[in-house]
Amino acid sequence: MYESEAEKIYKAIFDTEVPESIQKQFNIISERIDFLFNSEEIKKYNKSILQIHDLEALEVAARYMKKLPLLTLKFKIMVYLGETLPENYPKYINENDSFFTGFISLFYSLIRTSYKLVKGIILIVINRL
Amino acid sequence: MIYDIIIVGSGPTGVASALGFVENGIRPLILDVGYEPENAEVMNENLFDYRKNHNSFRLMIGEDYEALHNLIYKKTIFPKLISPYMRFVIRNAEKFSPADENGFMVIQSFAMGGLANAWGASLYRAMDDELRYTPLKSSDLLPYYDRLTEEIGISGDEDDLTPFYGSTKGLLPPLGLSKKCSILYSRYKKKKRWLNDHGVYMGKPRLCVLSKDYDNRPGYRPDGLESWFPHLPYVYTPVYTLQKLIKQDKVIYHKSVLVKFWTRERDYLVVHAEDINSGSMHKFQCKKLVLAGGTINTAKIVLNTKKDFTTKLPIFDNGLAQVPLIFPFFIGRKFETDTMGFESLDIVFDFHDRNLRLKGSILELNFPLRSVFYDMLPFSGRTNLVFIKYFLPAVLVVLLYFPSSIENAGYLRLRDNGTLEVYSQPYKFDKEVIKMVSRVFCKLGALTHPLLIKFAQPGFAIHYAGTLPMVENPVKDYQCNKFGELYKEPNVYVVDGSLFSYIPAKNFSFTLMANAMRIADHISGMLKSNEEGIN
Repeated sequence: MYESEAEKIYKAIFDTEVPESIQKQFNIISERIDFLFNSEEIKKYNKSILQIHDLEALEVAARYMKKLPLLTLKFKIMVYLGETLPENYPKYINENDSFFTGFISLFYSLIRTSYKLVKGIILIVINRL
Repeated sequence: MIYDIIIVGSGPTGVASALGFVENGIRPLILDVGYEPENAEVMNENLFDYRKNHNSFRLMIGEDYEALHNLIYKKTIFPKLISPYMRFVIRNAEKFSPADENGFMVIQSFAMGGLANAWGASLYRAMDDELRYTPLKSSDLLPYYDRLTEEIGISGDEDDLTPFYGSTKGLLPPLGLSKKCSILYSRYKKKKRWLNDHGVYMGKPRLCVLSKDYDNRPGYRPDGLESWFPHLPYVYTPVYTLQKLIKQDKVIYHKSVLVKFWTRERDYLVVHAEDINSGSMHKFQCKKLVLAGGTINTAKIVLNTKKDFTTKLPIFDNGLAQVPLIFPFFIGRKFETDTMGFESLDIVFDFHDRNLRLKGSILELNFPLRSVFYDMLPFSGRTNLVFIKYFLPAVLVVLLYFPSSIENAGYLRLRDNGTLEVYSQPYKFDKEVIKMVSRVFCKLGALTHPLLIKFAQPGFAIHYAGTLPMVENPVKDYQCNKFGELYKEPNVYVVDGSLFSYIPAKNFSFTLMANAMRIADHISGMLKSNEEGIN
């Protein structure tokens, strides 16, 4: 289960395959945190991982609707773990000066996040998560 | 053996008082738990440059996933303690001093050097009006400020903040500014007249960060390590002075013991401490006992000694608001990997009409683990990352401190099971003041809005004070006299933040240290005169 979780969540955030090192780290931390959640929360989380393709949309909507706390937590953990890879460094740190690139990227991302939010809400309602 | 002096704790006040005793020819015994960094590794290159080329899991997250603490556990620790290398600072704190926090965030340290291992490094002298509620004047502390300035190595400048920060004697040159801070400072200078007329002043902070080589320690180098590693040679912590005194055999440092209480036998005191490894109790005898365990732990030792499980001692902390300043033209700019992790600029709001003085510490958002900002952003996963990359380089943050006093104190009580109960109401922040602060920053060309300002929970500033107040003439239990001596507890002295019933809107550590040294001087004088009397 943890393998497919790691794959899907990493893909949702970084849009690439999950490296083996991150997968291992994610599995270890997942084993430690699952007991913090009740069985109902874990069941819904597992259902979302198995059934929903667009986890990014689901996660942002779930955050606003105060649902699926385990999904939100695992997204955050993956963001932390992902930051430790040198290949992800440019995703966190801007190494070039470009107001235009920055402005356009932010503008596009805001539109994208709005779309994801609406899509995520629909997914939650349809799938009764 | 009966020691002249036993000091409890090795934080800023414990070490400052030890220095005071040593300079009077007295060799004190320091009792401390004394945790030290578990991994002494220190990098020799810029942290960001290293991470560009190496997997940094062990460095940034930690083999035991220490950096994920705030995500997983409900009890939040402040950012600097997230680092796996800083975790020794709060090691076993909840075990040794469990606290039931009710609206007041409790952070304690049992490390050598205490919480100063992770401090913000700003050290300020107190003005007369900031010593209100105490029998002290700033002139009482002057020689100790000067001596400590020499010991520590403090950078700063003669500027518009000098009237609020006091003498510049012995200061090292100020540290440099980042691009955004330079712009903010130059705008301040252009609009200075209007700003000063409205009680706003800007200048360089006083930092115990070396701007040049000093006392065999190298000057600051922009390597991004200061938010991540302890004991960097260019950032002073009390550990430097303590290790120097231990090496010179001028203090006796007994670590791995946790002081619980004291008793009296004939004309000396017996300090009872638990060996943290074996659990066995040890006794240490002394003529005079100096409590420097920090406001909360000192109160606990005093209450435990008296077996008092009902009294509620006052406790308070600085109010703290976090104000983001957005510089739109810095969106998309290259992230400055060589800026300092401490405050670069200070701003003082001196609202005479409200009898209120606030201080803001202006910092770059250059915390090395960028993921900590993910939690603060409201967008989808990928969009949050885009904002971390392109938007955060356009933001400064102001930590805006509010003065606090016994009038808005919560309370601390020791329960009979050894747990501390610490309560506080949320602090009330004047909305008009917040609006005025926002207007000033907008005038300086930075975008902000009262709705973007976050208010920290009481306790988050970790400037605890007020439990055992120092007054001119103590008349009841749990008060101390001008020299920190506890009422009806002869030869027991308090030297830490417990003594102060008012803390101004700035870091008070330097004043606590100077006061601890002043008290040590006084006690030394008494010991000497007693010996002369005997002889």
